[in-house]
Amino acid sequence: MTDLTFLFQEMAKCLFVGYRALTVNETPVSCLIEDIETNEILSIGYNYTNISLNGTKHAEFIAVKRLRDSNLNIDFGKVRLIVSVEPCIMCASFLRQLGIGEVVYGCSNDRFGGNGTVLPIHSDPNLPQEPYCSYGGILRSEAIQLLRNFYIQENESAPQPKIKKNKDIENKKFPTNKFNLTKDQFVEHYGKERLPVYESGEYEITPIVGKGYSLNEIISLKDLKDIPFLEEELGEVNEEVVNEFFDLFFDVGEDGRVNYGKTIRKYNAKKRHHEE
Amino acid sequence: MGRKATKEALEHVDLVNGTLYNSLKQIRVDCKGDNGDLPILVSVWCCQIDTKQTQKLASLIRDYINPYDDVSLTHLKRFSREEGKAMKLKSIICSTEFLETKEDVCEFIKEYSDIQIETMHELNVPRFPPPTREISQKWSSAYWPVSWKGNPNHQFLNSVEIDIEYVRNLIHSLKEIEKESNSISASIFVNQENKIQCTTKCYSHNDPFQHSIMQGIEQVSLEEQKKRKDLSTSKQDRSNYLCQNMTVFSSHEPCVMCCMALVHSRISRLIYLRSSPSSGGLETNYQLGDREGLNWKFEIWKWIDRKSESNVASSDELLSNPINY
Repeated sequence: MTDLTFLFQEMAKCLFVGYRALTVNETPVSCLIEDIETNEILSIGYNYTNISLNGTKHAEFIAVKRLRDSNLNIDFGKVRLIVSVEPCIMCASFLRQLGIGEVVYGCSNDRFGGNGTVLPIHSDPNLPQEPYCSYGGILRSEAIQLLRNFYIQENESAPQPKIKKNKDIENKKFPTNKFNLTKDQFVEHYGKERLPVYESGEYEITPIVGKGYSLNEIISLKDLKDIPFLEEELGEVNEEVVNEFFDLFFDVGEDGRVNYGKTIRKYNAKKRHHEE
Repeated sequence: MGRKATKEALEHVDLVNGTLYNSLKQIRVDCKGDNGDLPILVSVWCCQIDTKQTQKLASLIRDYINPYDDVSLTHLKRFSREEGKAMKLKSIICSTEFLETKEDVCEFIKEYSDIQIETMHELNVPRFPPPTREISQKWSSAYWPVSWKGNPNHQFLNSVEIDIEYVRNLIHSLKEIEKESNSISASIFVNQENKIQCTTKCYSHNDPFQHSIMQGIEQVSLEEQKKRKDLSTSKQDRSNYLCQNMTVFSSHEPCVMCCMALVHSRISRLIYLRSSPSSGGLETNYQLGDREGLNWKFEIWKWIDRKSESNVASSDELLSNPINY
């Protein structure tokens, strides 16, 4: 049976980086670059478009630049990218030109997704450079919920009062779980026993089949404190911050469905802490 | 290329070939697919009202929906008669992207008006204006009454405002820059007032960071950062958003990454010299920049004028090597 606990841990760290970026008013899209062999985190990145006034400063670009600045001869074929949202068309092309080893993402990117949702830049045989392997759905509902926490903020700070939209994200359901994979590819990454997730679209991938999870069981304060570059760039990581992060998300039950029973909170930029 | 101006075309416009001044060729998705059988559809909320409510609903749509709905529905007639129901009208309220559920629509209408909606359902209608009168009639009977306001691309071509002498000069500069710097490709970013914002050269396409478009976007952002830090900069000068309203001149069809970077940067217009077989993100692959579904589009033109560059024609040969990123 395919145990995905490791990928869930890495994606949880990745989402935490995104959460910290949210606190400096950036879109909470984030990534980790890891050595495929040792699993060491070599670099992190988070959306930096608002601060830099540059619409191309996506998490992937920040992480790659950091890594390359420290090691000019890095072989990107030996690294794995863990990214909270499916890379956009620009980033997908960028990663392919670099020769990235592997991409694992959280939720799909309905508007700009370049790993199959809008365009299959990672695999299109008409493009130069070798295709790369990419699969998503790890902590998918959490990645979506994190983005929702950003979009409700954006509406509040819009220059002209916009028409009110639904801000009730605590009760909002999640879209159908779709994979940009063939059935065989799905089985290769997630195992045959998870095929119902692929086929129904109603369940989430879980670390272990038949068991649910809470984010706080997957990672600890120490794991998060150990993420390189994070504290010096986005502030101290302590118990309070980590608990606020955990409070944003529902649990997933053993049936693979999001358990809407938990009372979650949402992030409020004005107060810089959560509201009920 | 012979000019085949039709009656409705302006002097410098060739509607058939999509060229301006015999120098700029419009690069867009081949429209042969628009044969009228299968328009791209979009889902909208359609309701039935009493004719007495028409005025109120029309103002609600005008004031509170059209300015905010990302899906433009202005090519559709907003109201349609209900057959066999003298006092009833059908109306398109908004896209289902704007208001996702029936409950959202009801709540919205209640909040901004006192209109009584009798029934409501989802409906698929053509997303874009029809290319010909015949197609508009077909669509009207198959989906929903569509307005015919002329071929949208012909209207677009006639409406383009472009200072062709300025473009010619910039193209000349671009070629000079390439020649002098011995670079593989080069770009020039120009703002709304035709002021050059930056000029960038690329020496290695193996490094995506070095592509001239990526460098240009970076330079524009650094300049803007500097401006905003400088307190003497006027408020208006601080409010530039990314590369909005800029024209980018590029020696080559940008690669997929660079094209999407231009979409993210919200440029207005791209003018390029040479295609990039296999790596390009426009005519070669995907037509990014003029593609439905992405949240931004820009004009795409290819410079096809060779005559005016006769003085540099010999070096033109040398420069015309396409690139593969």
